[in-house]
Amino acid sequence: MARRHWKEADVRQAGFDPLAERLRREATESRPVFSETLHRRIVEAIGAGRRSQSQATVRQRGAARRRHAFGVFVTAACLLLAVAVGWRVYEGRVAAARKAAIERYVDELASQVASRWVLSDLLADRGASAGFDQLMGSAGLSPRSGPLADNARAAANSLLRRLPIDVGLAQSSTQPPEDRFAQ
Amino acid sequence: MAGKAGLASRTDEQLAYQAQCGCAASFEELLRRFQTPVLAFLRQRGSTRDAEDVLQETFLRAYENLHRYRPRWAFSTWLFTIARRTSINYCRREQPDANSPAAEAATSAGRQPIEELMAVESRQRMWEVAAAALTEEQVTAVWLHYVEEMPTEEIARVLGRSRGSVKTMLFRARKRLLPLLSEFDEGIAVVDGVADEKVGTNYG
Repeated sequence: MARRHWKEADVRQAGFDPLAERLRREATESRPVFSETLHRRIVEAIGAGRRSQSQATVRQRGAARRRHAFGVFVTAACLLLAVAVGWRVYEGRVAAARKAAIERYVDELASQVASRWVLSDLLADRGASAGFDQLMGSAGLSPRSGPLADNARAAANSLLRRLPIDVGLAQSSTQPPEDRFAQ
Repeated sequence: MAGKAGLASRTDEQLAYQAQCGCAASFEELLRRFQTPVLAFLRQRGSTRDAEDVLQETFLRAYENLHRYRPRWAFSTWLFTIARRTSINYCRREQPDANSPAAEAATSAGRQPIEELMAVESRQRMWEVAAAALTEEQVTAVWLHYVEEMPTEEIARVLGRSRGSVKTMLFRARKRLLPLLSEFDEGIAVVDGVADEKVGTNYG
């Protein structure tokens, strides 16, 4: 029999695919039949795999629980640390604000005390001081009430800084400084 | 749960979904359906005894990874993908003898000269010649295309290639196998009768 050398063009012209037929026929001929034994073997292997998988799952769950507990512990510790640090920062800021308020209060009080002293001084010795001021003014010098006021403010400030300032601040929160001074 | 008759009427994808939900009977039904085609596919790639071991490993892997299956693809595509990969891994692990078709296809990439193939073809089946003449990917593509009648897109999915490259692969495989086909006297005799009826001419 003469051998035929197939080409794609021949296949297209024939409208028949000998290669596909040949491959299909061989595959069908050698196709294995369904084996119940093999089926049972695979089912048992899957069952055994499932059992070992479930045992592994139990082990994994135990490990997961331990990991979870450790995670909770670490989170709680971190939270406590964060709260402690936050509290320290807050306390520091409050103390700084309190110190600044005390400083402001002392300055304010000092200036008031000084002005009262200068005023009372001027009122008590009005004639002499007026004359002195006039004399200083005529000599082209500054009146003495200015330096006097400065000296008085410095003295009052130094006096007040020796006082227990926390007590002063506590009183300041309920009463304006002028009122307390008036008392 | 549905009985055996109920399971038999369901599609592969429906059974896979039920198996994902924990229905062991559905997976067993899938196992029944695919035992023969997957075993035939694996036998073509290696020895008969190894094929059964690889089949078992394939179904085990499929069961373990069932949660990863998405019904966007046919269940057969997914299963053949696993079967192919398992077979490749098995061949690498077991270091098969150099004469097995799968080993030849994998190692020599099936690029033997046509004369050599002509010399050995008379004692072999066409698939064995194909395994020696083509690459592993080409043989897989040809098997899935002609035997499993899988669309090109699904073959591309199994091989992890594009549709275009699968088409090229099939075209090249045909180009290489067609000349070898004439060497199968028995096959030609059968083919001759049908072809002559259709064409009415002889090719010398």
